[in-house]
Amino acid sequence: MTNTQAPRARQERFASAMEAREYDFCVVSAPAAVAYLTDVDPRGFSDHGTTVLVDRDANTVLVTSDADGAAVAASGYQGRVTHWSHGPSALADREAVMRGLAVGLPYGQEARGAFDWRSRAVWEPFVSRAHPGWVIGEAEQVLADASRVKDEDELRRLRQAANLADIGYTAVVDRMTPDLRVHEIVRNVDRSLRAAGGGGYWSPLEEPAGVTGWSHYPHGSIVTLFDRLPETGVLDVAQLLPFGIHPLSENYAGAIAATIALSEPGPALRSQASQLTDAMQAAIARIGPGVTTGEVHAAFASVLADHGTTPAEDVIGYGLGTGLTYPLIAAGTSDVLEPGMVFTVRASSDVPGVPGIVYQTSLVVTGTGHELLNIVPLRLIHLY
Amino acid sequence: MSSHTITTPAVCLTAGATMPLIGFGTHPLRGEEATRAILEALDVGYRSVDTATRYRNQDAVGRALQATDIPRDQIFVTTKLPPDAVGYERETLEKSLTDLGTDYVDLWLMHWPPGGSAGVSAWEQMVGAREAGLVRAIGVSNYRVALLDELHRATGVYPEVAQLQWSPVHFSQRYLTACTGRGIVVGAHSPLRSARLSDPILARVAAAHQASPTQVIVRWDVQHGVAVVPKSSHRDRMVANLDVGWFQLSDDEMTAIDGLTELE
Repeated sequence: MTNTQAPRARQERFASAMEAREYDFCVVSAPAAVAYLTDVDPRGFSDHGTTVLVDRDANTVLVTSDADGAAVAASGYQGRVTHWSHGPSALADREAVMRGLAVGLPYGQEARGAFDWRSRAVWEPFVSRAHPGWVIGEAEQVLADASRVKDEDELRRLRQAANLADIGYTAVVDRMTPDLRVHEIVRNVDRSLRAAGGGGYWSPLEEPAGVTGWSHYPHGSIVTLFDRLPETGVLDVAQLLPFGIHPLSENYAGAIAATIALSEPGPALRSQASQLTDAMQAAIARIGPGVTTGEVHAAFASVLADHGTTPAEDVIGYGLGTGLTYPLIAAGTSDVLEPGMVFTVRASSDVPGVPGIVYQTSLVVTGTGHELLNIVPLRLIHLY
Repeated sequence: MSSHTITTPAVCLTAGATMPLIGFGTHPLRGEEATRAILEALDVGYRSVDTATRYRNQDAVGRALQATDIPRDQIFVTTKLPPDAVGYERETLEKSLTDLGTDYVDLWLMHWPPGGSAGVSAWEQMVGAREAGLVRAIGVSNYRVALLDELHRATGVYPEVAQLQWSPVHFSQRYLTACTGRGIVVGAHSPLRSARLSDPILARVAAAHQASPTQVIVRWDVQHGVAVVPKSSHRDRMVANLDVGWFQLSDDEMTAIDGLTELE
């Protein structure tokens, strides 16, 4: 059971962020945003469309299917909840519920509302030219502002999630044998995480602010094998095994990735792995209060440039909260790091046509620098 | 508890180091809690401390080693090399030594067979570290007998200690005999966590000796010559786990406890 006071504190921060951007209300449906505002994770819900409406006084309404009422109750959420009826008339009923909430907004024609992209399909029928102040896509920015610096409760959850990620990592590495089937790897991790009190996980396919497109969550499994199609067969020991683990603890996310070599890599691959290690370590070493996200990326790119290569991607890190969030650690960005910000830093190196190298760890910015939250090594793991 | 001196039995390893058969397990303690618990354990009489790179508490163990007035050479320190450190053995050991605040460890174990293999290249590095005086003894953890033999075939050196999950439920006479025949001391990790302390046989034996089931398990390990590392944060339990020299299990009792195994 989560701390029932925690969502209230986050709702108030969210309302303050809305006020700063001069919005009267916000509507969000991205799972990470719903979880942030209510401590309810809708990712496994029966019906799509779970939505949260927040006004500038931090009045908050959770709108969800009655089929998911038990899950909401089990979450411990004690705020206002409105349900639509699950079943054949669910869409019409949901529309009626949403219309009632929209009409009930006390802001009139001049109201300024921010929506996230995920809520667009739910609310678009009510967003018309009559309401020019209703802006699609801006709620992500409000969430980014509100969740930028973590409070003590959030840091506690993120540390727990990081610990679960480490447990999952050791369950992969310690039990890895070349003859394992992929589903056995997944099962080992799942069992370890459950034994440690973990349950859910988020999908690495989620984009910042939790936008997952329109497929039903979850996308895959607790262990994601990068650069591979879903498979249940025996591993190919000639190929690298890059994998990621993204557990949730009280809706807050852990995120690690590592790359295992199941057979001896050649000199070129070793060199590539070593360069990425150096670049990743340089980027992490740069992280501290007052430094900009762009400077962190520049430290990363500089090491690769010394080796005559360029980064495979412009983004090497994301804010971490109830999923991936802003700010990004990306080329040319200028967000200034502050104590209490939590990031996952991820770097990869493409190997055309085959699984490549991926390193990922998470950290919290401290008053003097940063603190790594994970034990996962930022180097190729030799298990052969 | 009776008012007698607690004496800790010990075993001589093949390269000459003397290892207490009862040590203090530190997982999952971290930070100040770990330092406090280790100092408490040293105070009640433990002279062996078991940690690992993976436990992320080597610095806490190090602080305890610095804080205690017990000389370093009277404390047997075990740490472990994680399988993901294969290829980076020396750096990992140096980090362990730095965190522990010591210039040698008494026992360095390979924590898990890397990739399910014997990890010959890592074992060669471990042998080298022993020759360099950075470690006094070397061993493995969670290894099957076939892998122990593979290390010997490749390097001519057997592990001195083979640690694995070991309790009455996990007892394997075959493994014990195989190790003993190769001069290897079996080490027990998770000796109490994985045991069924409420088992009627354990209860009966404990009642017969006016001991607790956990004391019976530690005593059973010691009489088998198995090095055991129970963990507790509570002083009274630390004392109880160490204080097993005042009673002896009979052959019938040992056999009855052996029979609790679910492996064979």
